[in-house]
Amino acid sequence: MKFIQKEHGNGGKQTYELINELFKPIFDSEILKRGDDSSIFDLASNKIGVTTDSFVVKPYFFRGGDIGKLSICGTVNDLAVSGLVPKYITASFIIEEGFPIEDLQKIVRSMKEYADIAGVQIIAGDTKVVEKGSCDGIFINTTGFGVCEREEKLPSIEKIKGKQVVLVSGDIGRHGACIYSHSTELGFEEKIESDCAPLNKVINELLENIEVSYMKDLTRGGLATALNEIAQKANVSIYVEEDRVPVSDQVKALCSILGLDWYYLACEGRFIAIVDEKDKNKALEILKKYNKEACEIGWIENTEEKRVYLNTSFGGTRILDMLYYEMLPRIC
Amino acid sequence: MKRYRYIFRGLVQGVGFRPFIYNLAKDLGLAGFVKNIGEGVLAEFQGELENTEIIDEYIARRLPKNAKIEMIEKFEIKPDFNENDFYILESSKGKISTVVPFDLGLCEECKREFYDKNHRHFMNLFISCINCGPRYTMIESLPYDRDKTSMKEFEFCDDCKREYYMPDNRRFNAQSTTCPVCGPRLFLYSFKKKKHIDGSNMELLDKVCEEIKKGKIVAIKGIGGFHLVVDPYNKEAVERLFQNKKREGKPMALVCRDIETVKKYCNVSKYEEEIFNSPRCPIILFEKKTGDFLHVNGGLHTLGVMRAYTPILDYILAKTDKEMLVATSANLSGIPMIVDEVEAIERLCGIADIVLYHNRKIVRRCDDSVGFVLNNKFVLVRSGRGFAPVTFKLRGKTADKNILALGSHEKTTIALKKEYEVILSQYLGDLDTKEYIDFYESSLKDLIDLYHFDFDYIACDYHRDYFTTSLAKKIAKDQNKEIVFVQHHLAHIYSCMLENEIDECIGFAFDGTGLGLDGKIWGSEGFVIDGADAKRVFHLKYYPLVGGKNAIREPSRVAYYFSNLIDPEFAHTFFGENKVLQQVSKIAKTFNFPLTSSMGRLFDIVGVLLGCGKINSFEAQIPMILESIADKSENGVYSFVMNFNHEIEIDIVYILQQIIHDIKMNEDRGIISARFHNTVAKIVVEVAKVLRENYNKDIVVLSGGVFQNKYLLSKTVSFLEEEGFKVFFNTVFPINDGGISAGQVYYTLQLLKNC
Ligand SMILES: [Fe+3]
Ligand SMILES: [Mg+2]
Ligand SMILES: [Zn+2]
Ligand SMILES: [Zn+2]
Repeated sequence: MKFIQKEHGNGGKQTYELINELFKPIFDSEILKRGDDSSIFDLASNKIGVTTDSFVVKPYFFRGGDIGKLSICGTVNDLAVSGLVPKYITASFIIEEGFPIEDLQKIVRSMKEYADIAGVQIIAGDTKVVEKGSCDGIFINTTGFGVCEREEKLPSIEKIKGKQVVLVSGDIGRHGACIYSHSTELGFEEKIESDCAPLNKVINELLENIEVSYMKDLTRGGLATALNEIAQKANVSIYVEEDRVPVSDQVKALCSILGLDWYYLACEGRFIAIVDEKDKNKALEILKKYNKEACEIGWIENTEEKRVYLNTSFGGTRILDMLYYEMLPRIC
Repeated sequence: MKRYRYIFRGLVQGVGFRPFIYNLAKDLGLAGFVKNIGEGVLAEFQGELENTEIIDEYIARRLPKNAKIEMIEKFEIKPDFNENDFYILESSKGKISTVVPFDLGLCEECKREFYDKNHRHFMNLFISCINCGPRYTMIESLPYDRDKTSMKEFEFCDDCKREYYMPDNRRFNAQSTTCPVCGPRLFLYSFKKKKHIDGSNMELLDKVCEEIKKGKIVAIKGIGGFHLVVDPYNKEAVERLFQNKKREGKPMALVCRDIETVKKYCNVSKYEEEIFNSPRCPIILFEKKTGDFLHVNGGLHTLGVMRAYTPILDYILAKTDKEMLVATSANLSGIPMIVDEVEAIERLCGIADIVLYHNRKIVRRCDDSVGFVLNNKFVLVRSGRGFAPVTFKLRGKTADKNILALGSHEKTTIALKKEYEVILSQYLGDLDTKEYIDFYESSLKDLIDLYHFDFDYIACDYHRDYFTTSLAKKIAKDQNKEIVFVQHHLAHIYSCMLENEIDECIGFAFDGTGLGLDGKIWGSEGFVIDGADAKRVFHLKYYPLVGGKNAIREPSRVAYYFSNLIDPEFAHTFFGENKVLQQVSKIAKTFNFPLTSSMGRLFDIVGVLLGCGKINSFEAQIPMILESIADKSENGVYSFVMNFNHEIEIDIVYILQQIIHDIKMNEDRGIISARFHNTVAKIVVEVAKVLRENYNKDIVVLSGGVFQNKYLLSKTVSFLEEEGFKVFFNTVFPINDGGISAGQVYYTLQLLKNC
């Protein structure tokens, strides 16, 4: 088996070989093939959007995906929930000396696969190799460019108002649970598959058909954190019905064993959409075509507190706030 | 002719102080006046006086029983020759720093009048006087005058007016005075009939008595909130109440008319009797001596009983001819006790059968106080009616800065340090729900308004995920105040240091879980403290909190983990084939569960191993049963090893090994439990001895929720005293997280001393 060596990163012959023999053939991008110092491309739109994100995940191959897929989906989703159509992506790699080249190949291939699925082109890249111990395997940074095709329909935080409903695109917590399950010896990894997926298709269809006030993809910190960010920015409170939040039995079982709360588990292929009550059914119809677990979980209320509330079947209205410590109990 | 001005500070409003001063002046033939001012009571005496001796002596001898003078300021002033009588003047508002009076339970005289057919107050269901009746729960603002209480709705009839203005009457200036003619009305709502039932006050009350006798659950509005009342001799009825409240196994309080009744079922010490009969009327956790009421108290060895502190409760007990009644606060899971009839009718459907309420508004929610007696000291577990607001006078010189302390996350309270006083709020509950947070926020606003409080510093816990901590940060930012983060277990120790105004000590804080300064979960901390300098010197060796936060509710996870570690065969026989436990335990090898030094969880583990339960369906259920079964005649102790690393550490594995060994030898579980308690007490002593050597300190302070365990506390105290330590435990502020806010205040004061 071949491994990444220091020389792969020194800008010399080996670097050249790695780029030309590994990255370029896989990414197969016209722009990238030119090998210029900058990539020049067209975006036929008045408004374009940019987002950037770095991906570090352990293990980098997990059930339902790998770090490569994640790095494409994460950036595609950030563009999509902003109401943009993702077009181009750049990718930058930091690789630890000794990293298996075969693994790198797999990761790069899966980036290409999901870039194709999402309909984006990879247009620039960079690779650095760092000394053993300076990074944990492989880090990937991606930057995405999207165009705004329906300016009047661009979701924005200002559009959120009382009585609107909150929809979620599928069951929550799978990605986080999947990653946790890899650090256990329980056989849970057989069952829990990450939800990592590009969301631009479903979002596109949603935007084509209805007016969406706001969308957010659920990443680190899960549903609870995403809702809190919205509540803060939009100056509203959000009420969530505990019974309605879709969570798979496996995720529940893992949470029970590890003492975790699924509201805080990461997702990588789920988003929430805030829509008017009147558009709710149409929206759900579309969401359910892509994931039958999609459903309405709560509503918006204009209040001063800017909090997220969880209505429980008994036990009062729980506060679902942002946490500093994922695993530390408050009980004394 | 001389004239003296007196300013009295302390508990001098709402306790018959002004009439007392009036009588003093009359008896001694003095002219002048007395009036409530914001900061206390102001009086001027004028007459043929040599000096103030005769006045001071009168005060010392005849001070009303509920009054407490913290400070007297007096000085001679110019006489006013036109004045020749003594007057009680209307209040004038000054600086507000008066001790706010707490609610007082029914007094003997009122009780006598209540049952006296020939007395005008016969069957006055809201009878009260200068020595009894609601205070804190009906005061809207200070100074304490009737028009600033919820009694203002009830205009005096002529008789009440006469009593109120007659200086030698027990109801002279008693703001809670009222009678059946002019006082509050009762209302009775039936859930079954879905409507109110007509009748006079007494007819409705008698109807309630009948219903209780039939085994019905009655919600009754009292002083600080609603009770759910049921006949404890009717097991089915009690069971139904447990189910409706969804509080399986959680002990419920009993109410009775006199201490003789308690003595039938429990051991009662003289001091317990004194507290029971005092106007504070807390729920006292008595040690049972009979096997009665096991279905009420969750099978524990203690029984929580309080004196019938309202005429209504006393009447119901008399009329139904029941020695005891269950009177548990109407607080549904996650929701604070109900104080309002509209809410009662809305929320208690399916829980109570009927609701009895009156139309006097409860201004402030105040649960019944709870505590126990040890060594002639009352240890508060919950500060509420009869105690709140707890007011503590600082004797030592303190910085003139005011401090607001926001407390903990559970069983929380708020503390204000205002000039020379530390004021602790009533119990404000667990802040996980909107309902409790609303209660907390409105209480915070209420206290600030009531005391006209302005502060320089705001103190809170170190745990960033406590609601109170994020609120403190927000207030600090919005109002540009300095914020002080106080580690949870330090706050426990400082709460007790405050009571005794100690600056240095050895402190042991044993409790469930609190965030430590190293990011781990602390819970068995030993400190050496000098002012604001606190050094952590002891803790149980860190162990994984197997199951994360779920371990708190389901301690069998940790118990299994250690059993399996120590003796897999034992684990298998004891826990059987339990897939979840096996999985959790297996995972602990690879998964990084949070590390803890919690003493509370150790009590959980031992409790599980001794068959005290598998799940804590309410906080500390298993440790409470573990304490209950302890055989107090057993003196045995398990051995333990002190490891001297940076701190002294003790590995729980070795102790658990011996316990498992005893279990396998079929040793009596009461003996094992006692040995375990003794061991924990012994650990404190042995560690304290080492610290005394190294740091030259001999004061030991004990605090934290684990010390609610009376057996442990009493053992620890007596072991320490045998070794010559001076020992302190909380007797003013709650020993559990209810005292955290007070500790936050005192830590901040210590910090300020250094500036
Ligand atoms: Fe605590
Ligand atoms: Mg992102
Ligand atoms: Zn009285
Ligand atoms: Zn009257």
